[in-house]
Amino acid sequence: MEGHGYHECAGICRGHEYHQCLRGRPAFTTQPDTLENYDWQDIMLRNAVMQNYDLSVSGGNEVSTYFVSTNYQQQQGILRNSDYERINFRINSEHKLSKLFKVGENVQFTKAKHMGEMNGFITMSTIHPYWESSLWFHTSLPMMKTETGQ
Amino acid sequence: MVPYVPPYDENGDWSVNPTGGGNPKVTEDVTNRTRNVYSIGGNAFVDFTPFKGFVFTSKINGYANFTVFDEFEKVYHYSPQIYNEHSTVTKSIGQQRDGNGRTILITAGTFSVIII
Repeated sequence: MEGHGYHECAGICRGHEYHQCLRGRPAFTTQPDTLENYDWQDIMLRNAVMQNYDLSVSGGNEVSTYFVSTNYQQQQGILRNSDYERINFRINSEHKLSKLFKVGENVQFTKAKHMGEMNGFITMSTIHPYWESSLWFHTSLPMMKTETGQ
Repeated sequence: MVPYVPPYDENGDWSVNPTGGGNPKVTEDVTNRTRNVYSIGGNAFVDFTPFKGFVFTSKINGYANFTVFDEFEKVYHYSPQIYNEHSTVTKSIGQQRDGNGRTILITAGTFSVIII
């Protein structure tokens, strides 16, 4: 049944008629064992790999010290087509100008890239197969009971 | 999506969710989103130590970031309610800046006084 057919069915039928209207459609059955099974978590999700690299150098003498570091991180999202990448640089240094004065600075630069952000998937229900008595969906799910209680 | 409906039907089109919800494969297939965030921050300081255990530290801090969001959505038709007749490109740019400065008196570690 096409989506608009479902909506049309839901719009014109009520009560017993509604049940009769939905029965016989390919996606509505009282025999759930006959239905195909698709693992939507496997379809939408994946095992994600993360890489993280750090490099830092520090040194100095009695007058000046420095610290330079860089970091690269690449992370696949568990949602397919989603990735995150970040590169970071940092520089610290201190200099003694005299016995009374010391100056220093700390500078950091970061570039981050987010790819393929998806928001809608988290609203998917993963409990439909067990939702046999829901007031909202009991006529549209394969686990509904028949008049004889099967 | 209900677990007895595949992502695509026999014609290769997105399957329709019989419970009325969407098919998450649609968004995955037609949408390409990228968000780049560039940020730079840091501080600089001067320490003045007139005698041991008594330090004035003047410090300025600064931070800025720049965000570029790009989205491309292809032409598609999933249902009478969910479709896109024309390819759409969305680009938005945002920025944020912040900064402050202060001077702190640090003594031998028993207490501190902030002088703005």
